[in-house]
Amino acid sequence: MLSVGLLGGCDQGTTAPVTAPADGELPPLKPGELPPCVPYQDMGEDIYGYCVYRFAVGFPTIEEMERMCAEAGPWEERCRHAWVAGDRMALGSEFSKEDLLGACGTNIDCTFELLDARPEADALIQLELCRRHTGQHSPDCAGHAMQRWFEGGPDAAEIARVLEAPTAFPHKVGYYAGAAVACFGVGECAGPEAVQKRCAVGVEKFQREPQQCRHVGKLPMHQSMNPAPPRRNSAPGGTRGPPRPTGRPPASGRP
Amino acid sequence: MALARLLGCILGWTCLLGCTGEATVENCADLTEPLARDRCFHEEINALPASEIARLQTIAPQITDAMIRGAAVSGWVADHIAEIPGDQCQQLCQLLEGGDRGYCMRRCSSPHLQR
Repeated sequence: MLSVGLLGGCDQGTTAPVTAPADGELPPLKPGELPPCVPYQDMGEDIYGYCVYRFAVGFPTIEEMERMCAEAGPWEERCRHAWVAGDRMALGSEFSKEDLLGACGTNIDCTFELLDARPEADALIQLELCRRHTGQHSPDCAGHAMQRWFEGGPDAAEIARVLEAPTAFPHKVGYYAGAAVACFGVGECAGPEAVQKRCAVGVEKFQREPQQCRHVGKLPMHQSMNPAPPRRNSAPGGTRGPPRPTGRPPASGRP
Repeated sequence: MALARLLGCILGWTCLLGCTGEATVENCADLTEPLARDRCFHEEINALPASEIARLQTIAPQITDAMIRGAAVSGWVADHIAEIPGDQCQQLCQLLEGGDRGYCMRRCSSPHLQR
């Protein structure tokens, strides 16, 4: 037995068809208004919110994104992620990492992807950003940071610097430092006890299996949410037309 | 998200009873108005447990409106991601479009997103 939902309201009037904006362009957004999603406004926050999220890439400013994604209900976090991802997240975009971290809000999948896309050159700074911004993903974030550090071929001084620093990720730091010591034949295990122990385990592993050294820097990292470049006022993923409630979906393209 | 969706269903049910007195239908496919049928399927998918992937794969293609289908499938995948086998997860993603399909594929293939 199924309810025929009237989520969010008692108006059961028919939904007007969506008028396709030319070339996927949307009129300037007004507060609370996203034209292609208007037909979904009476369908409850799940469907309407999904529509808002799908158009997040086209929100031109952080302020616009904040206002519109706040209307996405259960899809707000994904809305934020979709806005941040893609070109905005890439190195060289007009948006600072700090601005985008704020735009991600509490979406730690978003912050993780952002920190991966714009890593700090200093592994210790990157590790601290992982700790502060990626919540339960922080061990993975730290793993990526140390993987990158290994790929950079640290010398003895760099290995010592990283090993000696206080860390929230002793296993990750120790493991990759041990790999560096064994694989590059430089430096030695040192630092806090937990780090040093894990480092020694890494050294032993990679000395026993030196063929594994070439794989350390080649472990796959996760994919980007939205590798396609965002276009102003366009639907996500390059969608050109608006959603069509009567059946034909957008040509292409939720955090 | 699951809580919000559940609340939405409860509110929808309550409102429905209050507005129409026509509380339920036996089969969404029997509805003739396309949007009403799509929304009925959307609610049916919302109520499916993780073990009903096959049922989801049968219902979702019948939703003609891409936004309603996307909200149903993408939301269901998000709610049940830890219980969906990887290959089937990616099959479900094929029911989505554009950037949301990409996001879904990423979720299905990233271990840290399935915990």
